[in-house]
Amino acid sequence: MQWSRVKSILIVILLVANGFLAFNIAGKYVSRYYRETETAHNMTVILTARGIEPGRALTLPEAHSLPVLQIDRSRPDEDTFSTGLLGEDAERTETPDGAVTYTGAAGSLTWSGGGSVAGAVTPVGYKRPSGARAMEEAVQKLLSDAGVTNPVELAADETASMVTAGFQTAGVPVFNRKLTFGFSDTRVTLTGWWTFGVPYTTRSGVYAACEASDAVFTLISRETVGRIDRLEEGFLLTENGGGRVQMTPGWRIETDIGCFFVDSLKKSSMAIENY
Amino acid sequence: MKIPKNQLKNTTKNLILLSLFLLLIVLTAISWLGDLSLDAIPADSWLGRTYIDLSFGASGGFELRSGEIPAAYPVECAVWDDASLRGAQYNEVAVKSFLSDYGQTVASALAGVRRLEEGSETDFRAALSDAALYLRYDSVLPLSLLTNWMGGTLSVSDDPAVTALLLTRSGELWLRGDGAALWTGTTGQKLADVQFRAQAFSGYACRFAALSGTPYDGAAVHPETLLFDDTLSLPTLTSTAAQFDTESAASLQQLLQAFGYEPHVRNYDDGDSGKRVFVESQSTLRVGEDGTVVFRANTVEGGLEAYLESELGGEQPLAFQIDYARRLLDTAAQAFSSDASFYFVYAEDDRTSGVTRLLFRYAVGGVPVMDADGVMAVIEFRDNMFVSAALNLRSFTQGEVTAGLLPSGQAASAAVGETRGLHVGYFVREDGAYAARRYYLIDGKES
Repeated sequence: MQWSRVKSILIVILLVANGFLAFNIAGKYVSRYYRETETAHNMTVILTARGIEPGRALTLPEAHSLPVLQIDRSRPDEDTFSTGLLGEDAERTETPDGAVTYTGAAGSLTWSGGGSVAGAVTPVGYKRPSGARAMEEAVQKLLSDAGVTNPVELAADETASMVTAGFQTAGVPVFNRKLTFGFSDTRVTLTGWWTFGVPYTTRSGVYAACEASDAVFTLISRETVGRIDRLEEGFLLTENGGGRVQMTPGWRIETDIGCFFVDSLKKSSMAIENY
Repeated sequence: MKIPKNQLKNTTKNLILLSLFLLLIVLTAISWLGDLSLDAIPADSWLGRTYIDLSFGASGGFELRSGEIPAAYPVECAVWDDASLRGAQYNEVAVKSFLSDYGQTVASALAGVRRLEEGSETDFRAALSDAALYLRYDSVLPLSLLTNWMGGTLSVSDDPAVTALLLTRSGELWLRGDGAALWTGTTGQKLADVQFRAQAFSGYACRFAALSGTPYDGAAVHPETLLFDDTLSLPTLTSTAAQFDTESAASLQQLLQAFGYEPHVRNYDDGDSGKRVFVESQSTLRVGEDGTVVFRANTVEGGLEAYLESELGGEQPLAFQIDYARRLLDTAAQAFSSDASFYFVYAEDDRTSGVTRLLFRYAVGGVPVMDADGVMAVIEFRDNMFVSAALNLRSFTQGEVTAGLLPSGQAASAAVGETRGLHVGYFVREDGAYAARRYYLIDGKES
């Protein structure tokens, strides 16, 4: 009889505790929703007051914390990539500035000191692919031959006969870590910035809070923008002052006067190509 | 069979209790984890790693390296390639590639050392013929710091300051200190079994001076001096003071941010020195048009906290001080454009004032810039407080003219008298440009 009462009391206590926690969690989500809605509304008001038109597709994505990543060139991976496309007998020459050129019967590839690559190859039995799907399949085959195993995102431009390959890091795109394949009648040209090393952070690594509204305010305080079309969170590969290659977290913002990258850590903006 | 009413009631209560208890755990976890962010969790803890894996995904993501970002890189490296040695010197790209390939091997070997003892030149010369990996810095680095940068943890209590290390194929470690000092120990792992991918490493054929025979037998250089057949050609440099528009430029804001100053902090022009002085309650920052930046805390409390005392654990404060200084200079260096990077050279303790002084120097393409303008910063700490800094912010630009250096073999054979190190550095010429040349270093002094 006593145990039954104790259990009843425990049930009541647990119900109260769970109810309190559930109310607390629900309150947090509701308040976050209202805060985000209010921020979006305030932003629209501010943009409108400044004569900036919010694009139809403009939404404010949820805030995230992203690490500032370092990345080093990996010569063995570049070697594997080049010999995979040009053949094992490709000849390798290096200049004092760190640029490495691979030359083989199938073509040549040059990796610059900073990790950008340019070249042209003619794969065995090459026939110019027609149509977006055929071009994407051809790029998949080339990347597979080159030993790239990471999941790759492909975007085909049928008019320009080009396919751009990129892949995500930390769940977001790296805007300029891409390879562009151009198909002509006789060969495939290849350009881009594709540092192969695995991005890394360290124990004392810095993390940046990526707030979309902050990024918009940073941009409009520096640039005369007439319309903001789209925001996308991601990294930009940069060579920083310390001579290292860094992946900086921030936002790519598409506007009527061009595309900008807003650094979430430094709160600075810079014009970039519309990658 | 009919279940008694009391038993049914009891079972139901038990089930409700269990469900409510499980729900309590789930709700507590959601409530607690929902507020977590990477700022709040130590990234190298198991919770931090789990959080990173869950937030960003283990594949296609990024690595969390146990070592810190190095504040200095080797200037020479070499690896045994079956029949010969392949190496690189004063080549930033090649050295980083080398560390990417073999850094973990070096870290693991250093972590395996249980005891260090003083070594003799004779034994060291014999060990050179069994070399597997070799690294030399232009800095004097505590071994624990070097191991940490490679991603390992040193387990020996001795922590000698070293400039070069040699790992042999039979598992020996040899360390060269500043000058003639040598230490040796056993790593516990034979590198003969390691599959060195020397063919992938973009180095050049080289050899140690002690094993090169005539005419290097009597050369007064350290026996581990690397000799290359190829001639090193390096571009000339021009140097200008970093210009700060002290009124509104973004670069100045970047600089202020590095020192923890708000962009609109109180400031005035110091007529006598021609510098703009920014004033915080207990510190000042003086920015000159000649690129000099001087930070001074009036009191220890007016400095910036570089790390928490509790963070130290059993580690030496120097590693934390160097890492703080590196991050500060990284931020300051981003305020202006330059072809130069910087590296940590050495630390000295002033026992009377209790101050630790760190010196950083510029390097272009992995080649140190010598002379007074080559010193980028002198930074002082008192325990965990950053209290003073004198920066010389200069922008170095590589020219199109390259000049060949005296071949390393000739430079080594020309050395007579006291044993010395053979180095390369940029030195200012009469026309103000910088040109690279070889020089000797005897007991830390240029010769």
